[in-house]
Amino acid sequence: MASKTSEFFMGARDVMPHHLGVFPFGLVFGVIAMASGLSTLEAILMSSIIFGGASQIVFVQLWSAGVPSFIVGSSVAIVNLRHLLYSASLTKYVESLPLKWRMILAYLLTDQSYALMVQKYRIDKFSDYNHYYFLGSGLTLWLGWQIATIVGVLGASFISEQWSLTFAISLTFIAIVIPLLKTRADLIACFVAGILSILLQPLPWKLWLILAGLGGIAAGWIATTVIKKNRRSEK
Amino acid sequence: MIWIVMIVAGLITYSTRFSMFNKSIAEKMPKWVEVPLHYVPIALLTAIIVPEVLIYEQNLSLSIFENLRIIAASFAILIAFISRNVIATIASGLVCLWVLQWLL
Repeated sequence: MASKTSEFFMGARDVMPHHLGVFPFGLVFGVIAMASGLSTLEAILMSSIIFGGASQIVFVQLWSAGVPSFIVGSSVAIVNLRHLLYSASLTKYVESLPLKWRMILAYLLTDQSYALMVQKYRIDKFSDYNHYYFLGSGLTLWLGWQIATIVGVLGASFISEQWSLTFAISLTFIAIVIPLLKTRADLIACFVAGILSILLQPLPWKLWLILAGLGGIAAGWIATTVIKKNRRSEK
Repeated sequence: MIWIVMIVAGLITYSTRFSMFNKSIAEKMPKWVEVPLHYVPIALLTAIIVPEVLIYEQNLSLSIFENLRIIAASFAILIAFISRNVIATIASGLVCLWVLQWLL
């Protein structure tokens, strides 16, 4: 039977490969935040207050473009809406934990820790200390993100534009999205979002982000319904 | 001002994370919501990636010779598809871009 400490360290160990993706990402965030005119303190604390890479990048890019604050807020919110899904699929495992635990684990819920937890619960459904594994992986990832941000913020002036680090962000997202594309409806959602993101560029306030996102979601949703209906009528 | 927006955005983000860790809220969520939510990461992340790759110096650039990111991103997509590995995807895209920049 695994102990609390062994579960904690197992989580910390299993999250290690993810640091290789997260570290450059945090570094890039720090650099972009400084280039966007945020103060050192603002840039560093954003990583604790929001703690969501993609949304933080969106935040600083919109902010520096002079987009009204409610659009900045809505864009961040919509990018982070995916956590609702992660949260919902972990409900059955965490609902019996004390409130204090659930509050801490919720804060540490990210794309990476979600992926790890799904796997962990699958192979080790009955361990009493799975929440320590969650804490170990989440806390380590959090720490890595904070360090990467600080290095990026402080090193911003030494990091060359020529390294194309902003491209590393697109690559991180490609690495997340491609494995998600499993059905025809997933592909439709992806294509519609991609095409709209280009067609809607002329709109003010970078509204293309929200609208292309919503358009992709709607397309996937419609496709799911249509495919399901066809399948039913075939039978 | 930025602090207010940051804190509000942080609170919204936290509440999406915590929402379903709360039994009474989780039970109230209708089942159909899961279908559109499934497409949130795909749609939003794609909407961030595509302009980042195709827009070069503020203009849409589809020329593979002028905009080297198109080739590098396509290569990374291929590697992501084959390997399903985060590190391999990032590394292959970056190295591909650097090599192209050095060659051309």
